[in-house]
Amino acid sequence: MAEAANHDSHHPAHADGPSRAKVLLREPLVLNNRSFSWVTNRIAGIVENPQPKGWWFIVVPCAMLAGFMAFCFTYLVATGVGVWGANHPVAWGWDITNFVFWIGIGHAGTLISAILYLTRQKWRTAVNRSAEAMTIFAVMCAGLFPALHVGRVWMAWFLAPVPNSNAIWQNFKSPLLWDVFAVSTYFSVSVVFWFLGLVPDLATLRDRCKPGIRKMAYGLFALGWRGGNRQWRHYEVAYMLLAALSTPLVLSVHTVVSFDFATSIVPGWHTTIFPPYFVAGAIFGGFAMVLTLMIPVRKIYGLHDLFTMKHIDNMAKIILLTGTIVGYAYLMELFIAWYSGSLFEFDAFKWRILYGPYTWAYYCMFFCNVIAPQAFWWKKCRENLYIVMVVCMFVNAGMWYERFVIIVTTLARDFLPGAWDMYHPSWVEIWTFIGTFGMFMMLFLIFLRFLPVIAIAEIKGVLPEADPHYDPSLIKRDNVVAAPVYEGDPHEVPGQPATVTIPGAATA
Amino acid sequence: MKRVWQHPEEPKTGKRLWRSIGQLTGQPASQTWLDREFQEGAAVMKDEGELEGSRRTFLKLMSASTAMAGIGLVGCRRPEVYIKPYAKAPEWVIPGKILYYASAMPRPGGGTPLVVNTTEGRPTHLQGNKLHPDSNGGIDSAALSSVLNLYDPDRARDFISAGKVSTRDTFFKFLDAKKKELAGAGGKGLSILTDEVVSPTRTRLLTALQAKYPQARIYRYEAFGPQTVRTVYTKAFGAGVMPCYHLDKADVVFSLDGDFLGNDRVGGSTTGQFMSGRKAEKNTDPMNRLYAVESNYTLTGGMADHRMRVHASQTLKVAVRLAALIAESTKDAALAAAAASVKLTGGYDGGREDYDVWLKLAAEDLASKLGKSVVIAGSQQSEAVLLLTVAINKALNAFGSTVELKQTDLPEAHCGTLEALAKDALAGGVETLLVVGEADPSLEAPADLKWAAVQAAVKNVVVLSTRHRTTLARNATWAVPGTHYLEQWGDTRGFEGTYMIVQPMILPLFGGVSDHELLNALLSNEDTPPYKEASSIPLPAVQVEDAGPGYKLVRDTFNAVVPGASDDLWNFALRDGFVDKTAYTALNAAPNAAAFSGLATVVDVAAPIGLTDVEVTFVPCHKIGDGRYINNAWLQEAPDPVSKVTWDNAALVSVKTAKELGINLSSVDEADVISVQVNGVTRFYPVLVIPGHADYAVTLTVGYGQRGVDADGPGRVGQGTGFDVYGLRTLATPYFATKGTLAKITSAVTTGLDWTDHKEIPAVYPLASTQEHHSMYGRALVREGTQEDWKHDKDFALNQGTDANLHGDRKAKEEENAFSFYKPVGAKKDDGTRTPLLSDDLHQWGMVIDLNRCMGCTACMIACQSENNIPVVGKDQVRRGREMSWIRMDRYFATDLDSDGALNNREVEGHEWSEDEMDNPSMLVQPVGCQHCEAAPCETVCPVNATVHSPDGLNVMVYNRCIGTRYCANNCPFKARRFNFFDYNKRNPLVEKSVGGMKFNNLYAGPLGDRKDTELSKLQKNPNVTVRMRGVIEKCTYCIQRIEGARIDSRVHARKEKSRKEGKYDETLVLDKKELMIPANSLKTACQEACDAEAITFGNLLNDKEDVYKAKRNSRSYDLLGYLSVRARTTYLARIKNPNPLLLAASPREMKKVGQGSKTRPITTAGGAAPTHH
Repeated sequence: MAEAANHDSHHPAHADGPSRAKVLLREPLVLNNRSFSWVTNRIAGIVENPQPKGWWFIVVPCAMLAGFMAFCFTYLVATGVGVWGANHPVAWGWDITNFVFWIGIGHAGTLISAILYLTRQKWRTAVNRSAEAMTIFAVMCAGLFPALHVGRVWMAWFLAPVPNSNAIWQNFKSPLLWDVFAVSTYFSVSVVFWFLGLVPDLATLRDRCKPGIRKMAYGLFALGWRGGNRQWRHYEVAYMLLAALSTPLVLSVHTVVSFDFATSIVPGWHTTIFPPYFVAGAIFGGFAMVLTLMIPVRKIYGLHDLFTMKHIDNMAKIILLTGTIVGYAYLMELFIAWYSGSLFEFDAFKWRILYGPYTWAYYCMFFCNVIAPQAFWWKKCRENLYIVMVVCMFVNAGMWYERFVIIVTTLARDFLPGAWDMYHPSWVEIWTFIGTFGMFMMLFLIFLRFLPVIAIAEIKGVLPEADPHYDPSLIKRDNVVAAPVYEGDPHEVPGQPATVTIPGAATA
Repeated sequence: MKRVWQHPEEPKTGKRLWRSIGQLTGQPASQTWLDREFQEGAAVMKDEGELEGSRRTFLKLMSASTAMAGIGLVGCRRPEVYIKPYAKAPEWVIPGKILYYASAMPRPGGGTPLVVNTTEGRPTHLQGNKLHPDSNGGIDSAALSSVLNLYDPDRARDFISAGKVSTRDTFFKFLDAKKKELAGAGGKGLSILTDEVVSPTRTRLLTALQAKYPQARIYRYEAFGPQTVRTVYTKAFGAGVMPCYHLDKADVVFSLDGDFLGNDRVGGSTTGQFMSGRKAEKNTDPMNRLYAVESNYTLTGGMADHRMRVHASQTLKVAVRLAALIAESTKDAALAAAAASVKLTGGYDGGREDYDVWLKLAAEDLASKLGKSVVIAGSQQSEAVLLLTVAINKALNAFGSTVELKQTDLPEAHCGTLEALAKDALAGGVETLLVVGEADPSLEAPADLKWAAVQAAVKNVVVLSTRHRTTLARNATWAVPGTHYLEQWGDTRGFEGTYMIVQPMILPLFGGVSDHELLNALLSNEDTPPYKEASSIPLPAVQVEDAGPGYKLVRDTFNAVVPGASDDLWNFALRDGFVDKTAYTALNAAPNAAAFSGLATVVDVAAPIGLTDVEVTFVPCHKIGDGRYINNAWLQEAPDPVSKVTWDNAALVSVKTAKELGINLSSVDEADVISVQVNGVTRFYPVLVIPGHADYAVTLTVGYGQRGVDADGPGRVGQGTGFDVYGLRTLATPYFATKGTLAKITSAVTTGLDWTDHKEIPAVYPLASTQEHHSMYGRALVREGTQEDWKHDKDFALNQGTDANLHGDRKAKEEENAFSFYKPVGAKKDDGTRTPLLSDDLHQWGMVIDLNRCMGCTACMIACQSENNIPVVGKDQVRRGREMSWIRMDRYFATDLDSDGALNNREVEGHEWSEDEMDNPSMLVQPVGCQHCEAAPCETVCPVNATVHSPDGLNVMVYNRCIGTRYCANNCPFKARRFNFFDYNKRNPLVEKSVGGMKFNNLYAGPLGDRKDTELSKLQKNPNVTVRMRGVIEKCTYCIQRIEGARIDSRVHARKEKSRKEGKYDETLVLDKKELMIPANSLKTACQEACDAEAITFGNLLNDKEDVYKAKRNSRSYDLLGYLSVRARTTYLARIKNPNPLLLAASPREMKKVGQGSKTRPITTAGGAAPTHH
């Protein structure tokens, strides 16, 4: 981290001439010249102070939804897959739709933490912790579906390469098996990566706690972190290695998920564009979900100085980019369907977009994923949080529709019209899906309650003070402006005066 | 072992280096310290033994923890079950080994010869008896599924006296008393009503009864029997004369509003005979030609080369016009006179000119093949139509060639009709009525006969039947449980008269009485001996006599009927199931001219003209017949061959009529409800649109909507299915009624009793249809061409659809390039084929389905269900698209427009179809099961290797390994895989559960739901086929249990043969591999065995003597979805139409319909969007 901070361009480190002031400076990543202690107090305060009243009002219904989901799954396993709406041409319905949806959401976390880390995108520090947490919870939601959608759940261990007396191995040609490996690897690496990043912060929390169970728990997970130089050195190396390990996983997981479809022979699934298209879609959906979660968190916990408009702007741009890639993929699919000359391929898309029973779903998808994000071309839209939230909601819905369109509309109209049938979801699968949202929100709220939502140690690394060449004399008192005060914010910790230096203004 | 760290020796020269003072001073402690590999305190192994020990300890610990984990999971073990061996093994019985017995199913019109598969004394599966002279071994779905009726828990079980359960002995005491009373009065007041089942013993007993009770009267009734045919032939040729068709000799067949290939049984193997003229092995082979005139779309119409839709009421006019046209061509004066004697006004169906051209050319075609053509009218047609048919067939020289006249011994003379019985009863002439058989007048009698009043007028009604849930049995003085034919001795005759013996396969399950026994008891002068419970007879000492007096009765008949009867002949007859050369004598007689005099009085019927003047046609159901099979779950769930509806009946109307009614044409599942008013009665039915149906006409299939007498209705299966039709049918309108009114109901109607379980009639009724789409959307799935097409291009079948893009030597190329996980074996052979790619070089299985012979009757589906223990899932599950049948019968309607078009334009909106396009389609059918692809898409995607390939080319499904990801089902292009969404085999799908007022299907109650409520149906299960649990995929296995059985048999046989030849039988006997090959054509799958049309061929592709080997090389052969290169082992032979070229030239519509004459020759009816070529 310290090393990364060396290159923080917002500070005129090599101040050896008057031209320094003319350097186009980057927007600071932490606003209002917040100090180390302010950062610690603010972030640790979320965990240490009582939660806002609304916390319980959200977490309890979410827990109830999750509980009902557990009931739905129990009913499913006890009764049979028939309680869902799947039938003979459409053997997968909402189950796999939801699986791919959640897995997609789980992509942003590791992308932010690993790829942006390796590419030295320092703005990631404000979002990576929550994005990683979101990833883990999303993958947990995702994993439920393939595990429980099978007809004989109690035999699902056949998927694991366990030596057995019949000497039967798994079918390593099957993309579903690749899925099992890809998702479980992704999940375990993500958990380790997340936990590793948490260690210094857990130590901080431990140190700030009164003795008790809490202190013991934080102490246990802080793994004896003392903040020593050697510990930091090892930590940085390990973190970098894990980042390097996670990076290919970001690309591989959704690629492998797309193979579930792309390697099949079903017209509408059998497409080479799927891997890049799925990965782009996953990043797209993942960023939208990060924003969906973090904008309210920012507001409620007063994290405006740490999670700035700059972050939102960056993420909106990524959504715009990936959304456009997804749009390109949609159009390319249509073009190839026509250009291939394959009657079945072309028909599959004609049913999908022209006269099939699910055309509405296609247009929902297209609007949400391609049209709606175009708003982000305009800076005004990126700056208006209401618009950002609405677009992100569209993207969240659109990405679900995308998976629904791919899975259900394709299966409902494949090769032999004599076998075609409609698919209607049952109440069980609708509530299961709603229940996964409950579980996801519940876990995320519990995360907010017990763990630092922003990486305390890391974000200190992007403060000017973290720079060894930092010159405190540059602060000009006459350029001090008052920091905005968040009215009614119970988390505002009095302490360091909220002053900021604008170096450019100093010599202007 | 404690290892000593080896330090280098101290150098002799140079400086001495030391590490500690201790070392320098040579203290021993420091030497020890130097020798240590690890520091003090680190764990050090003492010796090798400890090393071994620790590895062992590790393993011990690991195995202990694994074992503990195992113990922890013991709670999930399966319940223990025990296999109980026979303490004393009955002779011949080897568990799992099927024994085959010949028997027969007595039926109205003529019995069906059968071979019964029994396992451990339980009949489990039926097949036709191909040794029988009038059978090719095929069997129809009703006969096939009759084995399930045997195990029907709702079959009559008890002797019921005035609604109360009584005993057998009480009944026979009543009967003994009654017969004494009757004998005194010469039988006065005794009437016997029987069904039309053909049984020489029954005939003999009835004759004897008449002799004993001269005053007694006998009546016969069947809702859709051959009564009219018998009347007409009696008039024309004399008493007892019946026609017997030989369609194998016919070149041109004309069907006059009948369904001789479907539910109008006019012969034992009509289908087989007809299809023998459609073998089309080479493109020069002659084919027969079928014309069909009909109002409803039937299987016969679907097979026709030319079909014309004409109202049922206009059939008479068509017959007259046809007679006149044929008379013109043949110069037959008698026919001309007969035709001229009918005075009709106007042409049929409004006198359409193109119709008349059609008929004229058809008549000329018939007349050009004298002695090789035949006209068959439906058995339910009026006397006039049937008489005209007789005259026409006479003029066509059909008698003696394509139609044989048979002098039957059926008891015509002394049998009255139901109408006569009603008259007698109401006049007080019937004191005791004995109703014998499955025909149930309380359900089926014409409405205006008012059966309830008739029954009330009779003092004693004794009913012998297996159906006790009707008012007939419930209001009877005595209801006697009848036996199923598989549990009684009996006999029957085929349509052509061959004598067949019905032997019992099992003792009566419910202690029923057979009709022979009852009639015999009435005939006997002695009192009936007390009943001996079957279970009280010590096994294995059961004698034939223990099964009742039936054996002796049949034996007596046999002695009387069969010339030269002897014990040997009897034993042969039991073995074969029939006695050869006992057919009815053929008659060579000219029709009695006087018979035609009645034609002059025939009344003209005007064609229907609108919704307030519609024609209502009553037809028996293809599935449940006249209603007698309503409680048979297999038949209920088999889709109707044309409408594809299951578990219900519906009103069938044409597209035009539906449009005028305001029916939602696009909805199949949620059918609009219409009211049908005719004969002064109004009934409500859900409506289905059948393209090709006559306009302003509605066809109603009878038999459904039985309300029964208690909550269970006609039984647990039939309860709440369909809607009653018999209430509309009157004596005067047995087949069709005119002047009816149709109207769509727009809101719910409350009428009370009409609808089973539906006090209130909804405006929309949910129907369970197995197929929603009726168009191929231009995909060339069923390929079709005319004979001309085939002659023109030998490979026309390959050049349709997407496959046409691969031209030239494409088959070879495909084979070179196709991706397969199996390495090719051997080089290319002379004929361009390769040895299949799998490792078994003795057997490679394959199947060919000839679409030219398949008419879509669904017998194969039922055969598969019976053989492979396929569960029934119930209406609710069928509606959700979860039917389990391993063969799907796809049915498409094809018009001359094929691109993207759907007749059911649910999705394709804005496409306007002309009336002709919509209402004159061809019907194409295609059975689709697992195609056993060599490069199977399902196999690559299964993550757990649950579906794999066997060395002999089967795509096998390992149920034990399957976890149910359903990926294979998604990736199967044929959608041939079926998933057990619920425990269909364990849980009863036919009942509703109610929890807190909420009603839902029992399946949804999961572990709390009811199990199947009877052990009985388990008796039908084939022990050689796994009963699948929920959560696994299943599919066609090519009857692998039969393949393995044949493999074992051939091995045993080969060993026996060899040892006989070589004179030794020990381990030195070496068998040549070739000797182990299963003999050609000796192995049949269940579907193949059942197929009357012989459309399915199966066998070893490596054996050139196999039929399938030849069929694969037929140039009509094509792969379904061949462009996918999955190398399906099941392939199809394209359908060939044999249209009349003159008719094609005369009618552009016909030309378009059969795809002839177009230069850019896509075979349009087949929906093949083929590119132009040549």
